[in-house]
Amino acid sequence: MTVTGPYYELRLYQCVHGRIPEMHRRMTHEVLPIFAANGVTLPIAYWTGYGGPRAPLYAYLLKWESLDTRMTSFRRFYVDPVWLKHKQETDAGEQMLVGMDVFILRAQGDVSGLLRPTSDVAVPALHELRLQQVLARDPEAALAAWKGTDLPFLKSRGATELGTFTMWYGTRMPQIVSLLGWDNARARQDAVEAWDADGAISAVRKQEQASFGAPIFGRCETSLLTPEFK
Amino acid sequence: MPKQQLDDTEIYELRLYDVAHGRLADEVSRMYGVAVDGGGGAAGEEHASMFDRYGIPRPLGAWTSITGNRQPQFGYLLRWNSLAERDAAFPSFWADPEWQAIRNATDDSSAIIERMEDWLMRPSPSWKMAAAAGTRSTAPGDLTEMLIQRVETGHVPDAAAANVDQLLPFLRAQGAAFLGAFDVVIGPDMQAMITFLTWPDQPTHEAGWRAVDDDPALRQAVKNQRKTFGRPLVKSTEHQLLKPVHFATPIAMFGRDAK
Repeated sequence: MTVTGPYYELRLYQCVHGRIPEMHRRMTHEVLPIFAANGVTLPIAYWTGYGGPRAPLYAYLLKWESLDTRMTSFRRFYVDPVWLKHKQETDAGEQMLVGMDVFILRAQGDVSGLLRPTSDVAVPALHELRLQQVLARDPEAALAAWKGTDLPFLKSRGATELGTFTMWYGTRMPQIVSLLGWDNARARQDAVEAWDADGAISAVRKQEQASFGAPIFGRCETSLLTPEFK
Repeated sequence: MPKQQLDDTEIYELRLYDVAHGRLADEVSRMYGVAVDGGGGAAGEEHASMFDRYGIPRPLGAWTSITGNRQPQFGYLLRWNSLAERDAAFPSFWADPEWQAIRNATDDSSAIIERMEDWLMRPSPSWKMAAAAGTRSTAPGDLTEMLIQRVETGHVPDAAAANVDQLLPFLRAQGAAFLGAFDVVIGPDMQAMITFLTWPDQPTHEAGWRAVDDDPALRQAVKNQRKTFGRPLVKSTEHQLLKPVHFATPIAMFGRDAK
């Protein structure tokens, strides 16, 4: 499991209904220049979503070479008078957010499938965010199973692997955080049902259960998202 | 050695472990061996631990949970000067075959740890003000309260001010002492403020919070928040009552200077 290299910051905002379109407009038009002025890196991907436990969800992903730089940059951002003025104007009397989650991830392999924030070419229309709890005793084995058994199956049924990560700071760890691309929800549903019913996959699960004494995969939190562009 | 000033750029790491049923004692003793006393020293003397070897600081507090939504739970708090340091130290420790051997031997046939939370926090800007009203170290028999307040997004400064002005002085009068206060910067269910208090015992804690609920001034304060902000600033509160373990009882201000 990779424990070096860049960090990815996943920011998940549960919004008040009706504020999602404004969130993305605010983010791309007004917040990005304030990010830039304070050294906060520009997001490499944005999403909105209405299917999942944090819906209505606005999400974006940042890439950092150093978490110390991340801490300094966000500290500067939050006290920037331009940001404070903007926040006061947009929040005025009406809350935009129900709550938020901020997680730091480490990439496990190639995540360049995500790095197309300005173009819609070759980006699947539907994205799936999976927060998959895995066996604490052997997260490496779980990652190997995901990469070696489950992902290839889903890919053969139409999934695109956009990025696989492990949670580095966050919640319910260890977790594998994956982003998959699909042509549409129907294709995704067919693939997931085939995955669940597949005899060879079931045999692997039984074998894992026998060798670890517990299931290698625990609960998975799944959200269906629409990629947004700058 | 003079105490170091509290510095807003310090990073605090809170690690909370879901422990398998029946394994709390195993977890506490494993942690003592790995973090504090590596063993093999002369009688009555600590011998360098694996944490010492890799530059992982001694826990500022370590606890088992008495109440809370994650029991059985073991947790501890660390202070880091930089995350680069932290992200070099822990992976080196994890990769050490000696740690892996200890872990496998102490896990025995099944894992002690099932799942964990790993949150990053910074000192709350209100910490110094809160401490000015009084702080003390954990006394023998004391319990620690970890008070997690989920705050309306964007209102952390207002909620922190309400703690400093109203809630914390009131709790102090009920017998609680302030240890430290943090804002969560990486973690779930944000925005969140975490305040650590020390209480002489559970009945005092219980009576103290009953008094909070009965107090007309504190109730009025929440009503005023509704008027000013349209809602209470604190959306929900999680009270975790914790028992400090013998090798990491938290001291006043987690060792920082209040001045």
